[in-house]
Amino acid sequence: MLTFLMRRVAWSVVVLLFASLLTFFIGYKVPANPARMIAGPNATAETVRSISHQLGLDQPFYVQYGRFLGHAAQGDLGRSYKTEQQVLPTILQRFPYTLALALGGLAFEVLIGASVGLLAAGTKLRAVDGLASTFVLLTLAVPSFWLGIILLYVFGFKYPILPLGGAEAGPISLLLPALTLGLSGAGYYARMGRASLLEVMGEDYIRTARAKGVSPGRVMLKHAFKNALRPLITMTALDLGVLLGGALIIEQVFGWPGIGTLAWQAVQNIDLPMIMGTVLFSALCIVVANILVDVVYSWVDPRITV
Amino acid sequence: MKRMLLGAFSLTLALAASPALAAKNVTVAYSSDMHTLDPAIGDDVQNWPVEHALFVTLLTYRDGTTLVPWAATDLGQVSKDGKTYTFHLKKGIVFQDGEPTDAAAFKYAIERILDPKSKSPQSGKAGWFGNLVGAADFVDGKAKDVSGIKTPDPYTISFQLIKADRTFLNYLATPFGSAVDRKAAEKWGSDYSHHVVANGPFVLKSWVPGQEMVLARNPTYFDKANAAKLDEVHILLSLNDQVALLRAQRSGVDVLGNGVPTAQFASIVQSPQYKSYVHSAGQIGVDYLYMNTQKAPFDNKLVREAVSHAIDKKRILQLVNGRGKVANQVIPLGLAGNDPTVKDVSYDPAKAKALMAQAGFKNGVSTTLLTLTDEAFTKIAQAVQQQLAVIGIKATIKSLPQAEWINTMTTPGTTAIGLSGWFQAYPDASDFLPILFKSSQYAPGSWNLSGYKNKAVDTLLDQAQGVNLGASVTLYQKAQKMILADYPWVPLYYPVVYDFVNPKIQNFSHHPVWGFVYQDWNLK
Repeated sequence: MLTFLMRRVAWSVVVLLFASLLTFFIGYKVPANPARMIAGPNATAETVRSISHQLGLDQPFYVQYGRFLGHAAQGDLGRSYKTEQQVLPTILQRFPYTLALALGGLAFEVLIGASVGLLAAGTKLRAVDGLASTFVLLTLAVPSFWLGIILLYVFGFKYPILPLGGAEAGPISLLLPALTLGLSGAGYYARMGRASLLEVMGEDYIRTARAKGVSPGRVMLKHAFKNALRPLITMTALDLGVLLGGALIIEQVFGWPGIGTLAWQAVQNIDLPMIMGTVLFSALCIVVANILVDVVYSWVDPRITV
Repeated sequence: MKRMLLGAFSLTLALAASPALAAKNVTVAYSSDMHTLDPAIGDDVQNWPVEHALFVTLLTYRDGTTLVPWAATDLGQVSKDGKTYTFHLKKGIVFQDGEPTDAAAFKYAIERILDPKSKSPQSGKAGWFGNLVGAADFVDGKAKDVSGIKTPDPYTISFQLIKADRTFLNYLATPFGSAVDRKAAEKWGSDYSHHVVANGPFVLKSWVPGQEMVLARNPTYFDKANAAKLDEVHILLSLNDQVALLRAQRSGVDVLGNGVPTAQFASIVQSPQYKSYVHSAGQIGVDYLYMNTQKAPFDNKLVREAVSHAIDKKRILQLVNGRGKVANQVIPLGLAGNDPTVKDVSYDPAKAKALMAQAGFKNGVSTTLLTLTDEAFTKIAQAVQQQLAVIGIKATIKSLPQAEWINTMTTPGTTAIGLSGWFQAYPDASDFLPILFKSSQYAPGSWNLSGYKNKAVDTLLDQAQGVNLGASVTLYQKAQKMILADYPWVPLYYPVVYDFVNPKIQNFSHHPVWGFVYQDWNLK
């Protein structure tokens, strides 16, 4: 186990290094001058050059990247070009919001998606299966930003029972963005849950259980569901990793002050330190989630060793 | 495990909560975050109104663009050669931490801006304060202070300039001329923006980046007669325009910082219910089509004249919901120097075609039209493309995000024709013609996008900088006529901003320099 973890951590470092190199290179190659974005359109060319020099943007790529890595290794991701705020504390300040949205969205995804999928596969009624398929198609086809705006209009404006975007109304503000996020991803869980349960239902041990006279309800609950849920665990953990990096579109639509909004504004301002910080943070979340999936999976299914 | 998860969930939700609103408040919503409140750095339409609410300057603008004293007792004394300005300060102006707002605080603020490490848009020798005697030595690290700023006593400050410059008074009236509390600025360094110590009508009560900023009335503000009328101004950040509009229609938002959203503009403006919510105000700026006089085919004056006749400005204005006034010159309406005698170039495609033939382009010519990936500019670019096609100019649209767009068009020789806009930093024609048309401004990072070069115009523009306002207007108008005769631009329109303001707010106006003047607002 320890060897496995050490090997995965080492690989994770390689992945993060590669992600940082790629992002830094793209930021370096963008045909725009961050110093101009900082100085504003009215600043003189000399002022722009001076700011460029202050930030070391006139240095070769390897010098700039080397300096970034050196500081990053000490936990210093630099300061935002635009706001002058330290990158890491800024990301950590936004993290609770992103965490709340990720957990809330995931809870809706799993609850709605898995329920629909398992219900579709577990019932013999074709109408239920048909309804489930329609649900899957709809949730996969409807863009999340559109769904978000509609939900905001209906529940925030037309029938004002929930807050209209933002986070200042407290925990209740989370409901609509989380529901939108959950509905947008629920189709995948429904499809996966349905396929997984159908596959499990055809397994030998299910046939054996039935042959031994175990009641259909018990077969479903005790044997089928438990095993059908395994692939969903993998998916959930991986999704969590992705969502912790920021749900960019949903955060934008709802004015949710998470890491996605931060990343979006950083890209608009060519704020390279903040772009690097948010990308690396997202990559770190995904890498950690992958390791957790392997560990949890071995715990859920003792046949698998790590 | 479940309890732990629930606990973590509750904790994160609790962290997401923010304090409830107080009584006599106004809420303004913006779609982007606030970048800074440091008066040495902030230079956009979002932070200038806040900086103007927090910091006192020697002079300010009232009733439009009229300069009036603020911390100074009067508009200052100017030496005969126009190179020295002396101001006496009002007594009793203090920062919220009790530090005095004296001459030293103003001197420190300008030296702080000049320091290249400040990353101020006006830093260094080329910035607004580079014309001060001793500024170059200070910037180069050869002097500890700027010798041209003298503070003979705590309530007197004088500025000695290298060259006479009438617009120096304007520089002092912008937030760049704000006094800065040295103790706080040195204590917080790069984090000063989040810990600003105010001396204006408001103080910064709280600021959660990406969410909300709260300004509270400053109880120690010196000018009781003009103190803030509101208890607090809540500025919501990063709230998208559509959601902000829904809130403004329902409750929770009183003013849309970004104005009426484009998508809902027609329905809002025509709605009887919201008629009283909409305020319009002309901006001192101009959106224009530039042609690079150094690049074919626009190095041919006949082609530029043809393009000027080919563009239907009224049609273009319709595309932006009529949010502007047709422009016929560079100096915008409302700015001294705008010349009422200038006649617009007529929309005349037949004449334009004839001019193209005369220029030797009877069979047409191809070019690339640069624009910004902005909704309004994209629509305008498509219209310009169609109108150019009528006279045989086949233009391919190249649309870039803001940072790349600015970088591309301010790189000389990169573009032949494109759309751009220019807005005042301070209300004087010197912020338009010299920047946009002086030969020396056809340089990397500078804004002579049309590569216009005319020595006679350069001379006039240099002369205008050193004379009084009345004399400068004559010189600028003369220079502008010469420029327009060469057709380097097609001025398209002077933008008009449409604000969405709850009628319960009294004394709302969109100031040409400050935008929102929070200290003037009151509730009915």
